[in-house]
Amino acid sequence: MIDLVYKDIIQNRKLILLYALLGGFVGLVMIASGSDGGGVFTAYVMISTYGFAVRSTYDEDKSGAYLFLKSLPLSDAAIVASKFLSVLAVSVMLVIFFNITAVLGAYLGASGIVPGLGSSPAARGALDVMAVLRGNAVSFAIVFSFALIFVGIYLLIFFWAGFAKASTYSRAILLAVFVMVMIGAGAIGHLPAVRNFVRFIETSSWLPAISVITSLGVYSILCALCIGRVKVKDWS
Amino acid sequence: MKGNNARNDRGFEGRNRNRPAGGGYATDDLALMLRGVSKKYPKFELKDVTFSLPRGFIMGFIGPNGAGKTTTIKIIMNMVRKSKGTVMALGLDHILHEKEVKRLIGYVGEEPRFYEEMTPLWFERFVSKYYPTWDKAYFIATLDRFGIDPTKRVKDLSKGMKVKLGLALALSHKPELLILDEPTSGLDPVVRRDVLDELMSVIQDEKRSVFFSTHITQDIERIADYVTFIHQGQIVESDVKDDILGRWKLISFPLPVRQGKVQDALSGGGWDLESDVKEAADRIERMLDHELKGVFVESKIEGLTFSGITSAFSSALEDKIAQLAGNRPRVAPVSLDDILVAIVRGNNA
Repeated sequence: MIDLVYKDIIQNRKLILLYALLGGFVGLVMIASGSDGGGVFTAYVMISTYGFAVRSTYDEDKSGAYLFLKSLPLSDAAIVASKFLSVLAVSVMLVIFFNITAVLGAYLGASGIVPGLGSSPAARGALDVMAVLRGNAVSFAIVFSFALIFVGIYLLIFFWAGFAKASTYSRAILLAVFVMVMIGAGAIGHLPAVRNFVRFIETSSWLPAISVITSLGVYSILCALCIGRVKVKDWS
Repeated sequence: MKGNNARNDRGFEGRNRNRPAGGGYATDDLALMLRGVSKKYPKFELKDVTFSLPRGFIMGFIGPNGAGKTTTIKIIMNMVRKSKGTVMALGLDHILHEKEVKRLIGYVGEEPRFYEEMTPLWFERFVSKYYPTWDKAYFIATLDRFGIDPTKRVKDLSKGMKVKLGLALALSHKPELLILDEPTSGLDPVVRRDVLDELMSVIQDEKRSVFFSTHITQDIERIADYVTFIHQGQIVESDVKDDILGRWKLISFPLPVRQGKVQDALSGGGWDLESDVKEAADRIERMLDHELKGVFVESKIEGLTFSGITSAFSSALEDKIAQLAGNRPRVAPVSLDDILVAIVRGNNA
């Protein structure tokens, strides 16, 4: 199975490199210049994780390569799980990379090496790496968890109904979530209860771990559903 | 070794004659065994597919487009799930022992499916991990023989080259059973000959079995020991090729027009030739409906001659026709192509 994950990463190495460079650059500049990076991170994680999943399934669909994999001595479970694992691996890799650049951005802000980059929260004195990471942990964990579940749903539709439907439905879901968040933020964002809830989330110390563990659980369930589906599916 | 005679003379002289395909073999001696395999689609149904291929032999799987060849092969490869039935490959259930079975099978699909951006060398590294018996030197030598640049991306290879790459990948782990789904379909004659020549060379290995689907019957005539015909999702024939060719014959004889009247006509006497021929043709039709019912798969009356293809030729049948028609019939051999056409036309009539 690791061979299949490696294959996915090698096949999409250019895309992964592009995401890494893009995310790294934008994250570094945003954090070093004083932004907390949350908004950028949200967009970055969603785009990179979803983009990688779409691209790698598109390649499989276009070339009909699952038939090639099915001709090899591989189980259905290995074929499906490897796809879930490769998406997870790439998103984790990119999140780690983004955090490294965040720390680097904070360092640049703190050190004054780059003139004009001094307004980062971490710039008030010596660089505290853990403080930078802790500062981002909640929003990063929630966004990462959401991205993981969303991509899991995308893969579920892909293995259930094919690339075309997965691509269309997932975009519709993403758009619906975006509209709901925007409308919701405008309509109820000012309410004290909502503000308290947001503050609770931001200050919670256990929420990052809980959200990541929950999303991994949901992701695993979606993977198991896909394996069940593929076991009875006709490949053509 | 079971395959010796077959490989040496390709004609089964003195062996297997009058033996039903796969008959008398234990499951372990069969490269492939399908029993009552069915698959239902909204507009197509594979019905009760049953045949066997003994180890060490080559079976041609013939049928027109849409007959169910690819579906049958995909069921064997567990790419399509059967609705019911049993499939055993090399003595193993194809689902319970899927990985073991696939380690022993080399498969080339109807349209080679590869990752377009990758190179043959990358495929070699990727695929070789799954086969303990992988022979890299053979793979490289085969690519060389086929004139494929191992560093060229698959998307830059022609269709013929992709088929050859598929064949090289399928052969390099020394499979015991080779399953080929119309590998020569759509190839130009030169590439087709290359592919068949490569197949001819690898099947010299007497332990290797080949299951080869095609609608180009000349390919089968060249290399197959057994032949299975499929049409509209059903197996029509499955047997040793020479037995099939022995049973399927083209039988023709002149219509039994009364000689006296012919003489009258030739000497200028009044005779309605058309009505007399019609009468003779009607007699033949009645014969076909009664005494020879179901004997001919396809038949026609052209001018003063009846001709028909039978799948059940014997000297007894020849005698019976001679007696009924009043003439000794002319018996001619038919090709696999003729048989395929007769099956399709006969079923569609």
